[in-house]
Amino acid sequence: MSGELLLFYVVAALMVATALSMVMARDLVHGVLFMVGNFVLTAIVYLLLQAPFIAAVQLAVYAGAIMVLFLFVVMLLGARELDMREPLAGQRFWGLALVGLLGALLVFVTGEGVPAAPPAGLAEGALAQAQTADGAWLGADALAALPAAERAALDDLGGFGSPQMVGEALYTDAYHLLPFELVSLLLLVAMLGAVVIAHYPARPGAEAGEESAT
Amino acid sequence: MSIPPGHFLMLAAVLFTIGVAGAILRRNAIIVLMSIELMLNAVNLTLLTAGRAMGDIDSHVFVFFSLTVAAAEVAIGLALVVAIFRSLGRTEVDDISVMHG
Repeated sequence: MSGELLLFYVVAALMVATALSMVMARDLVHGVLFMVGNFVLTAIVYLLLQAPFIAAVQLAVYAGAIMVLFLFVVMLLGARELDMREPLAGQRFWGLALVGLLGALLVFVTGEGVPAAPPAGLAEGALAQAQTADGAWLGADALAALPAAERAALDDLGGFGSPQMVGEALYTDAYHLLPFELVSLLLLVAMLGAVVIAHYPARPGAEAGEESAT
Repeated sequence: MSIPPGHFLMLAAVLFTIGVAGAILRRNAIIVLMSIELMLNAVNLTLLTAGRAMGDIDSHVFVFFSLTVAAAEVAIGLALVVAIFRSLGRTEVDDISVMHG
C-alpha cells in the first residue's frame, strides 16, 4: 500500500468519525469544533485530489470565516446542553431507515466509479488528451505521456489545479464572466440580508423606534 | 501512487448520507445548518473527483462558486437563527411553527 493511499484511508476514517460526532453532538460547541475538524480534513483530501487552490479557499472560507460565524452565534445564543428527546414517535426509526436506504443507494451507484472516458463534448481541452485509456488519473504517469509542448504549457501554469490554472479558467473564459459577477451580487445581497434579518426588532410593538441591544 | 476515483466518490457518498441524517433527525437549527454544510462539502468533493478524473479544470471553478454560495447561505441561515432565537427564545426547528396554518 502506497503512502498516499494510506494517508487517504486515515483521513477518510477521521472525516467519517468527525462527521458522525458532529451529527450526534450533545453540546453545540463540540459540534462546531467537530465540523471545523471535518473541514480541515476535507482540505487535505482536496490536496490529494491535486486541487491546492480549492484546498486553500476551503481553509480560509470554511475553517476560517464560517467557523467564526458558527462559534459566534453559538456563544451569542448561549451554549447549553441540547435536548435529545425524540420529537415525533417513530421519527428516529423511520429517519434512520430511509437514510440507510439513501446511503445504500449512493454507495451502490458510486461503486460503479467514474466513466472510463469523458462523454463526448465534455472535455475538449488539451488536458483531456492526457487521460489514459482506462480512465486512470491525470497523474504523473499520464503527464509524462503528454507531448512535450503541452507539458511545457501545463508546467508554465504550475501544474493541474494550481492557482494560475484556476485563475486562467475563471478570468479568461467568457462563460465564467456572468456567473462571477452574479456571485459578487449574491454576496452583497446575502450581506445586506443578514444585517436586515438579524437587526429587525424581535417584537415590533415592544421596541418600536429603538435599536435592540443585540 | 494514485488513489482510485471510486474511493473519493464512496467517501463523498458516506459524508452526504451522514449530512442527510443530521438534517432530518436533529432538532437544533444550528446542527441542521452544519449538516447542510456537510452535504455541500460532499458534493464539492464529488465535483473535484470528477474533474480530476477527466482532467478538467472547470470543476475547480464550479467548486469555487459553490463555496461562495455556501458562505452566503451560512450568513443568511445564522441570521435567521438569531432572529428566531430573539423572538421565540429557542432554536429548535419544531418550535418554528408560526406559519403552519
